[in-house]
Amino acid sequence: MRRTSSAVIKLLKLAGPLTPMLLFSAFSGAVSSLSVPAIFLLGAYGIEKLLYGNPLILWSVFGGMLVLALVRGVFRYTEQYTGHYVAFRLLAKLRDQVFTAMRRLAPAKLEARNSGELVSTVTGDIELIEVFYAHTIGPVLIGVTVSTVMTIVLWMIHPVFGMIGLAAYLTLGCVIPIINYQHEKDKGTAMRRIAGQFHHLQLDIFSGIRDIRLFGRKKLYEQKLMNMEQELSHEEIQLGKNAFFLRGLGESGLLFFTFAILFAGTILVSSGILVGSSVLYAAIAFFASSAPVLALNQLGNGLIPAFAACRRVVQLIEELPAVKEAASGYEPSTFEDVELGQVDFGYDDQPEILKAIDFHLDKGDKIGLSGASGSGKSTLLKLIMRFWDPTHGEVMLNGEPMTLIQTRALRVIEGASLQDAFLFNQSIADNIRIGNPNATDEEVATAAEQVNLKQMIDRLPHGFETKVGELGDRLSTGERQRLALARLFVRDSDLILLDEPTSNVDRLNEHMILRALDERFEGKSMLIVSHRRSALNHTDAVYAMEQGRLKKIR
Amino acid sequence: MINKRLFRLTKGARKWLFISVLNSYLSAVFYMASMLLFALLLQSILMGQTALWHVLFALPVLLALLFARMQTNGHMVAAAARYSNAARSMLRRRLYEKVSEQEIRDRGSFSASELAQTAAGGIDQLSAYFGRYIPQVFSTMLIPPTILLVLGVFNWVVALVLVLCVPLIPLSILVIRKLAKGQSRKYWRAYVSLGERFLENIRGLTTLKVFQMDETIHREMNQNAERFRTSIMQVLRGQLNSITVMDFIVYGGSGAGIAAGLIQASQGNLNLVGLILVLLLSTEFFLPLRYLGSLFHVAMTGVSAAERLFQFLDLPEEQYGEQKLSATSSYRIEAHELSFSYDGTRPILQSIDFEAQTGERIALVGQSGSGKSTLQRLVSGLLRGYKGSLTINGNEWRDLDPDSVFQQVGLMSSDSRLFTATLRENLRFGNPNAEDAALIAALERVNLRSFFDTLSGGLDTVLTENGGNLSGGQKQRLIMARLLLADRSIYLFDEATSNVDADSEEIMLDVMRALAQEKLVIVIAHRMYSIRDADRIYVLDRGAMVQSGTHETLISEEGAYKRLVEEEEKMEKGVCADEKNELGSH
Ligand SMILES: Nc1ncnc2c1ncn2[C@@H]1O[C@H](COP(=O)(O)OP(=O)(O)OP(=O)(O)O)[C@@H](O)[C@H]1O
Ligand SMILES: Nc1ncnc2c1ncn2[C@@H]1O[C@H](COP(=O)(O)OP(=O)(O)O)[C@@H](O)[C@H]1O
Ligand SMILES: [Mg+2]
Ligand SMILES: [Mg+2]
Repeated sequence: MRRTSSAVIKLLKLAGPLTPMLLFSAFSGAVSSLSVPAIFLLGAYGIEKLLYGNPLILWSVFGGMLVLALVRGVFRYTEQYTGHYVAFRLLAKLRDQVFTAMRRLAPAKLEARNSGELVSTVTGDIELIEVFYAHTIGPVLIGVTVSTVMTIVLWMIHPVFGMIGLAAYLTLGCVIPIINYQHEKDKGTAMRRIAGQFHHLQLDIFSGIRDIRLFGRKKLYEQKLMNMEQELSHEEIQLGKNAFFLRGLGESGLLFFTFAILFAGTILVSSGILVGSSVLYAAIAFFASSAPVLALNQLGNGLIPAFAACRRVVQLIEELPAVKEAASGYEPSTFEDVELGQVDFGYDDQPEILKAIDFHLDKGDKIGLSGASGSGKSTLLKLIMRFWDPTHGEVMLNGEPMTLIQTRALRVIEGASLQDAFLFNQSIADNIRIGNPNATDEEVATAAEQVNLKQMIDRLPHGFETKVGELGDRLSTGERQRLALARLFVRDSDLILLDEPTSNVDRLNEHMILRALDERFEGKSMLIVSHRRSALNHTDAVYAMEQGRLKKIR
Repeated sequence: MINKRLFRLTKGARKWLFISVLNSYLSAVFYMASMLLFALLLQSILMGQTALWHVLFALPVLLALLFARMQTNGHMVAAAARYSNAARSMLRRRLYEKVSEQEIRDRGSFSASELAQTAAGGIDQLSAYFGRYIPQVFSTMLIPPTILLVLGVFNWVVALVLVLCVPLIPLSILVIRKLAKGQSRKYWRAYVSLGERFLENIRGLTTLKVFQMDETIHREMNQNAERFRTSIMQVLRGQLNSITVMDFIVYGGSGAGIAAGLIQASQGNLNLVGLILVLLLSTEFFLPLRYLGSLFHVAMTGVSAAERLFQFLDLPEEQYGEQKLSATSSYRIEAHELSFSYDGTRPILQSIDFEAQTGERIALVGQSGSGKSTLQRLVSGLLRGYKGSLTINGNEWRDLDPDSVFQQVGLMSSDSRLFTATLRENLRFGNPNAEDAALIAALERVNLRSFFDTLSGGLDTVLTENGGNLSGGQKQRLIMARLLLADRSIYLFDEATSNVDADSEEIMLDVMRALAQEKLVIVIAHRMYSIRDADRIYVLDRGAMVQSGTHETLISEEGAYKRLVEEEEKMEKGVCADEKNELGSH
């Protein structure tokens, strides 16, 4: 509950300058809701006039009703419009904040999260929060206003009616929803969690469908899919049933309290305290004012998934990154050297991968790094790029500790190609321009030439505008790798970090790429991780990673 | 009103729709009965004829009605849920079925992420369509006429006035629906693209950060979110217009009904009970229609999501052969003048001749992009639509049932994926019946044993998405272990050792050599030394098979093979040949 309330406070704060609009929405809602009982009271008035033989002022009754219907329509429109306007504005803001959080968490903390669940958060969960902004704050204020006004109206007819009304409004609009929420809120949490997992499962299955087919596991994964769907439906049905139980309870309660008014009315009339028409007024007024109260009654249930979603989103937004990037601090303009001093590192709570590493890379050095697969070479690069911070020891650039260096400036100095080339489902040119959005067409073409892709691209019907497919799956593996490398060629970095740059290309291509790298980054510094001797031979010195330690072997 | 194709999908589940509508109808009847009760009570109060026993007598009747109403409501919801769940499962199954069929050819413009988005978000939208909209359509056809009937018993003029207001509603719905159709389609597109772009940018966020493009992309994402917001506001505006018009009709119409009731009553044509009932039920008469109207956007979004889903389901079916590949101990694959193109214009493979049989280890080499993986996909049955001939044991590939081929073929490539699950589950993917000991033995075979021993979670260690918490080489070896567990007759290793060190590579190569004793093994590699001892080596160059033979024959010819080998030797010796031994020991 504490988590929920702090999440709710956060959401309310987000409204900030839009709060007046939210209040206006509630005001419109109250007016439109009050016009409904007014219509009915007018009807009751007509009946009374008729009963006691007064001349029927039919047209004024009917005209009044039409005016009220119009008021109802117009104010409802403004209520809904402004409420949703605020809601969707804020949802867009939340999406912005989620992406900000992603940027902050990436890459260390993001790796541990399933992308399908994240998508489900940014689409499904955030959409659910709409209920909070557009269908909670307004209705609560409306419910309170309408209940108060109607209690006063009923009280004016007779205090007993007033009390019955008050009891009804409190029970239906307040007690029941709160009890229900307390009782059911875990269901919302479970439901949203499963929904997220389900989204991820489907993404995982659709992405891996080729292997599923090849290995003959189609039935197995269909079963998995269906099981999870069932699990989700189960939660939804529970919540749906509950909603209807509540609605039934609300409606019954309403009829029951109407009945109580009739009962009290009967006694009051028979003891001569009231005339019959007052009872009619009271009953109709109460009955017709029910909609906003019933809405409150239902609200508790609607909020269960909404609050669960809200907790998920807020939790994501507030998660602390593994590395706190420095927005200010030392701003190196050139690269002098990188130094690792007695660095220990292990992922989270897993055993240490790097132990007391000392490493130095000077301006102009070209150093190779080899070592068994899984020994921690890529990890070392990640430390130099400050994707992670070491558990002990220090990584220093130009003699300054990494933590004091402005991270943006660090990224300008370092240019890297990671072991898994990531391509965006865009054109070849766009993918190269990830390296430098301002690169001219000539620069892009030259870069393609340097990684030996130019010929192949020229043979494509759409040339540089060819789309590469999801994750680049319309290119061959080696083409993907070379395309990702081309990004380095359109920018000017001082320290080039290469993780297995040529693992998926043939010898001739490898030769050309290594030579192109030499030429393009003449005089710059370079660290190449590779299992291939050919690539390591292009360096001035080679270190090997062995059991978490670095050994110079050349 | 109802999308025919969607409705047809639920043929087997309509029983639940019927039950749901029936219960909703009964519930409405109980409601009317309790209103009648109230009207009677109020009448006697107003006429001053009431006695306490009237009221006390009414109480149990009211309670009984309330109870019955809650029961029917419960049934109504449960049945509607079953109905929509049945529809949802059906759609999901179909989608899955289609994805798995389609994957072995081309998915057109549908990415896995859009499909996942459709499956998760879209099918949920449809569940509201089936669970709420369709039942409401039927209830709306039943309940208002009944109310009309009841009021008509008291006075037909009032009923007539109400009926006259009805055509206004569908009219307004129709107008609005026309306007809304395009908008909800746009809305759905925006929603899907929001998720799709988000997923891609999340997956590529590390790359974006390295190149400081994350801020640019963030701005783009915000624009996306803004586009989505405007489109949802458009849909909303349409919906609100309709609701406002309808509200006016509902309450204006009730007003007209009540006014008519008053006139009729003043002329003595309607008694007091009837008049009160008119007051209580006239809004009720319009409400189902109004509710239906408010569900319209649900319906539209559902239909828009379905449209995209159907577009995918309607992609032309590839006609696969029926012929089953019979399992034997010996296979022979032959390609004759085999040609292939992905897009029908750019030739990828041109008139290739190729053969391989059980007991052989065949190597496929050539420059990056020369078509090796494409040939591998053809041989494994993942790609069809080739020209020329490709046979296995004399059966033309295109006549074969793909699943019967897959039972014999094991394949690993850079496209192989690991699943977000435990290590055990990932290994058992290869063989669901394997015991833990067998799984560990498989890890041992690919030199992962020592890594495995460092894992505190053992086989229960959870792998993140696509093996994200493994090193590149570990992932590759794990995929190989998984493949070895699936005992196949034909193995294809496409750059299976590209990310591992020399030691592990030697171990993996030995496994391949051992496999080749009894199986057919095809290896694609860029390190020429690793395939030197293959039984036959094929050399591809820009889609053409330029050379084939053993290392000895090929090295003595002038050609692509010799160039690649010489290049390798030159590069490996490099600047300091004396380091070779030391490096080799890692
Ligand atoms: N994100 C991660 N979370 C947890 N463990 C990880 C993560 N990334 C790597 N590891 C583990 O850390 C160890 C070192 O991984 P690293 O990627 O640095 O190896 P590597 O030397 O680059 O290997 P390769 O040559 O196979 O690429 C491995 O045991 C790996 O399983
Ligand atoms: N799905 C695809 N759609 C279109 N073109 C493709 C697709 N897959 C590969 N290609 C193209 O076909 C050519 C051969 O690719 P491939 O067989 O993967 O080469 P490699 O010999 O490196 O394995 C490449 O130029 C590649 O761009
Ligand atoms: Mg690595
Ligand atoms: Mg390939």
